[in-house]
Amino acid sequence: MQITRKSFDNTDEKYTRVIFDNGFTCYIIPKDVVSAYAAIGVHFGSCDTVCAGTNEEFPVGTAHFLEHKMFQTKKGDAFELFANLGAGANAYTANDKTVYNFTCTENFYENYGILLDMIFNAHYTKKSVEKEKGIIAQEIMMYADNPRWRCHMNMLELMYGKCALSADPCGSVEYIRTVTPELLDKCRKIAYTPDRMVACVCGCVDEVRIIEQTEKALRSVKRSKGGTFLLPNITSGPVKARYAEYGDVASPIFNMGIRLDSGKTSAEIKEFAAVEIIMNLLFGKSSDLYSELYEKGLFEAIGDGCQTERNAFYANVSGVSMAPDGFKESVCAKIKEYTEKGFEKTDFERTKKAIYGDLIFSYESPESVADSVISFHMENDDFFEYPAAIASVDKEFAENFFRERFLPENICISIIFPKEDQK
Amino acid sequence: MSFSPVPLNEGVKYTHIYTDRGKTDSLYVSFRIPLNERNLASITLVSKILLRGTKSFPNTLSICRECEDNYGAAIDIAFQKRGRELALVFMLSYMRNRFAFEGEDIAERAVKLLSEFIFAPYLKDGAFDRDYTEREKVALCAQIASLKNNKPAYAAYRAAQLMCAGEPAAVSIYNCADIVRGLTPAELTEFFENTVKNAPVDIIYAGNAGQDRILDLIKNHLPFMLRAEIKRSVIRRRTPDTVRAFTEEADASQSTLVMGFRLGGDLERKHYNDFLLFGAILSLSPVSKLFMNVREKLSLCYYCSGIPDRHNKVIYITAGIDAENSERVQKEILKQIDDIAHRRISENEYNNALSYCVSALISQSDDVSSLCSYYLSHVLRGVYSTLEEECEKLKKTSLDGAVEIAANAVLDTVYLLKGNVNANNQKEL
Repeated sequence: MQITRKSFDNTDEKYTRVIFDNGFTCYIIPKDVVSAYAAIGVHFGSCDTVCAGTNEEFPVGTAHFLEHKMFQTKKGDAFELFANLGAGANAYTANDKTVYNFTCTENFYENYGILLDMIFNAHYTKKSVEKEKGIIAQEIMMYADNPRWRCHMNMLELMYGKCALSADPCGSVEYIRTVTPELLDKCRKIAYTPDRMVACVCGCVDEVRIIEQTEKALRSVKRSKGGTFLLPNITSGPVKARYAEYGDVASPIFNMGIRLDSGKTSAEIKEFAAVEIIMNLLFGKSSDLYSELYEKGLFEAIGDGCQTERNAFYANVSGVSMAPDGFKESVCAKIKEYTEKGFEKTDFERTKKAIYGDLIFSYESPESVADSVISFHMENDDFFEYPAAIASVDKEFAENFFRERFLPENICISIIFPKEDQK
Repeated sequence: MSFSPVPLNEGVKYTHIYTDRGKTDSLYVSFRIPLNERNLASITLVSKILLRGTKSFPNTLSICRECEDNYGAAIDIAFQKRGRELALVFMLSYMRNRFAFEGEDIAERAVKLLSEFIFAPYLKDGAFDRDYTEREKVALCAQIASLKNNKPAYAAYRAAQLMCAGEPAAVSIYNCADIVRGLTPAELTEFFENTVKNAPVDIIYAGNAGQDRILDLIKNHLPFMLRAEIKRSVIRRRTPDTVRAFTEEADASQSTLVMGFRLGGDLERKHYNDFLLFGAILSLSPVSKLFMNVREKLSLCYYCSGIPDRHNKVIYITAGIDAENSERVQKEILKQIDDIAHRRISENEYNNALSYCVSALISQSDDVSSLCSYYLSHVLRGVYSTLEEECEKLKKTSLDGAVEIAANAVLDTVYLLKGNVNANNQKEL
């Protein structure tokens, strides 16, 4: 067992990280709060569809289906077990991970025991797998009816082609009908091994007790090396520039993507920090571009973000616009301007200060902290080093990255126009 | 020990909630005005215009740069419909001074900006800027129209309109596009100045500063004059004698069912905790009756949940379903309410629901802005017990009240937004 303790004086944060002998990692972050939150992330998501070496396939939708069934244990439905102890549990499947969590204000250690038990000892029957199909089919339809979601998925397909990364993580209704308990077992054996897992416990918890409890729960779990999965089969680029469809929306909605990866490796923490600063300088409410485009009526509402998942790294801006193509054109012109002129120093420094402030805000929430710790860990990074990473990005680094990656051929736009416009 | 708001002036109250937790502080200023469509349309539009500029920061750009330079201090404006009343709430949050790089006074700078929003908005010739007003009208109308993009939200809105026509529960910004289009800068300015001058004010602070320090900031930057309390009027509601059923179609693969129920009791005070417990047993707890039966046992939906509205004494149950299962789902939802009404509630269900409610309440104290919102809602209800006291009361809540609420629940309206699209439309990019 390897124990590492770190504290960060400027943000008043600290954590203990334990790597157990079988590879299971656990972060413990005590906080002076009444609640506690725990999550276990499995480094297996919807885009991990082909096992390297064996070429066994787990089509998109498998990871999500498994997530639904992991709550079935020999002791009963884990949702009920958590609820009996006053905890609210949940789970989600992303492209690159599956995360199981609970929050509570009492019986924390008992609840943590349930989480550890279900992650290694889930027990589902053929009947319960069949029953789940109706529920997941409704979930798939719910997302299919959400135009913003559709627009986002279309944007991913423009950037990365038709692949696991651009498919609905829930899979298709046709596929989920074919899922069997045997397939889920096989998937679990390969993907749910301790070396592919990371736990994060945050809140009013005792470090020593958590370490002891985790170690005890792991005693019966063998050190089996998990399988590795092939990276999603994304296109090498350039991106397809535009796709539009018609749907039941009141005004056109759009999602503009900027592909930033090299297609082979994920982003470094400093690159990620640079992109967060750049996106703020481009699309934040304090940016010139935001005010210009808003005054021109080129959008009604926008939001932006950046994401790194496996070999993909992209930024995007989405929203409502009566003229989405005009919006993209103006953004591209601004990018060209910044490429030539660079950013204003005062804007750059102010943006860094604001992002630092936002991070301090996010440290208040045990959920937000634990989820971020897991996400950063899966990218081999440390969430608590992120303020330092932001501070380390100077104007020159950001501008060089910007000139290298924010290229016209890396930009695409997905649009959904109102169906009335088609007529 | 209950808390007592400090009267700063007639109709102006201050509540100080000390907490050492967290790294930020929150200061909320709330105004109460009567709820009607014109006030709702005006307040919604004004809240957008205010964010466009103040006297010292005349545009969005300069406001946002000021906030960013003050370590991401955030000001938002929200409103809550509370029966016959509408609360306009200015919500300020800022990082505590101890995390500043160079010992700056983040708090004072943030409160100064808040003060400008309220007392010195950006005006031209004594009224809100015409261009800002017209631009925000377009944005608000687009926002109103976009409700149809979200089918579950649209279905819930339609059900409330059909069920509660003429009642406060049906007053919605989504009905107000025409009023919004007709509002002028002069009218809006007069409306806002009247609100600041005459509407009852509640100020809530949560954080680790001392009361004197915050009272000083208020004295210097938020000088509210005296004003009168508004009288609360009684809401008249329809008494359902028959169940009304409505079906509308939408371009969607999934259908959305909404069942609207009328409830009895004093849900804002006497039966406050009973209603919490009822909601948890029926639909909010992780093992609620709707979740365990309609979803888990019968696999009829992915979500089946309640939208409680205690101010208007209604609850809407909504579920995304296959239209062909509509009757089966309705029957099952009715059965679950009937089970509560007839005390067919296991000890486990009761305990789980109660601990869900208690846990949700206690954890409010972990987050400074949640704590501020919690005490604001308390003050607006006129309840002055602390979170800890409320928690003790909640722990003692028996099943009787929840059973009574279920027994008196009357189904008023069944609304189905019927999907008419095949889910498997394939596309090719």
